[in-house]
Amino acid sequence: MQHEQRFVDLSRVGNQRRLEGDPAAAEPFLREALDVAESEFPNDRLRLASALNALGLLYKDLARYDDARAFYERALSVVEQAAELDDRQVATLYHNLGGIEHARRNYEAGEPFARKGLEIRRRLADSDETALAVDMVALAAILDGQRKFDEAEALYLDALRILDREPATNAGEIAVALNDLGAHYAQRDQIDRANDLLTRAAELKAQTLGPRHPDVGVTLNNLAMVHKRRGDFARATALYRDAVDIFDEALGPDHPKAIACRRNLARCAADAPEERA
Amino acid sequence: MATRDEKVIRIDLTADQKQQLKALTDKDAQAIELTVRELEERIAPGVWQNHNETFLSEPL
Repeated sequence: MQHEQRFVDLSRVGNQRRLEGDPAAAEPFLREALDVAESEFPNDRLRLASALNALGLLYKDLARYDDARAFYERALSVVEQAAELDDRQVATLYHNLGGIEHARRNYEAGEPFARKGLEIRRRLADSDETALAVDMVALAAILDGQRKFDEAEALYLDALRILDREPATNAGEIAVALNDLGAHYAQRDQIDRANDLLTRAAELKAQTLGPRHPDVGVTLNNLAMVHKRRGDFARATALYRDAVDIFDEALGPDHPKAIACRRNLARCAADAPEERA
Repeated sequence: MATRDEKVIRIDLTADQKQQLKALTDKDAQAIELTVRELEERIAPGVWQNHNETFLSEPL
């Protein structure tokens, strides 16, 4: 009982720190949760898979993609050996494996994982609609990376219809879908639509996650690019600066998002027309 | 003894929800039962599923 409570408490605190946008602080808790699961519950495969998945998510946030993938693959192997296969966990692990390739911008490699996760989730008799919508958004983002825009747009719109049935409960997921759909329209040069969606996403993320969360930084970066395309270099520069500050503070200056955002800011400064005296 | 994650939570259905369930599944149910983990997945799927957030970048 003591070990069970310890495992639950470590997992809860670790997952909470990660969701708050502080993956470095989450690491010791989630590492220890895995140690407890391995030493005290070696035959409880679902618990072990849950601890491994949590570490995969954490290392993805820390941009340690090889480590993340190794944890997901280990979790998948553990789940597949369980006496009763938990298809929800299998779907989630394929979803997450696709996420690693998305983060690496290796979209073609991510697509089969994302499709498999979605396909398994659709077949579940007691399918959770929110989880299904989250799978659809994740696949759509991978399709956007390959410029398969028509299928991606249809998936985003279907997912938003599902998520909008319970807007308060799904606020965080709606914000992610709005960010991705806004970025989708930006890539298709539909700048006004992109601006509206990204503005809504930034507001919703700030409300649900807090204004200094790294996920807010992602949307500010995207919004900055839209303002730059509109020729509003001053607004774009201010948004890029905010995003860089958020990434530096939350993830450190060497994180790929901080580096990419700083590069966008430099490019914006270089492209800005010189001010006339 | 059941762990916290395996503990079952019972949620009584409203009259509307019972009707919807009947229409969808032709089953009569008074309540649904979920484990804590299942309930968490429904409340906060982001705990277990990663987000593929598009991050726009200038071409290199």
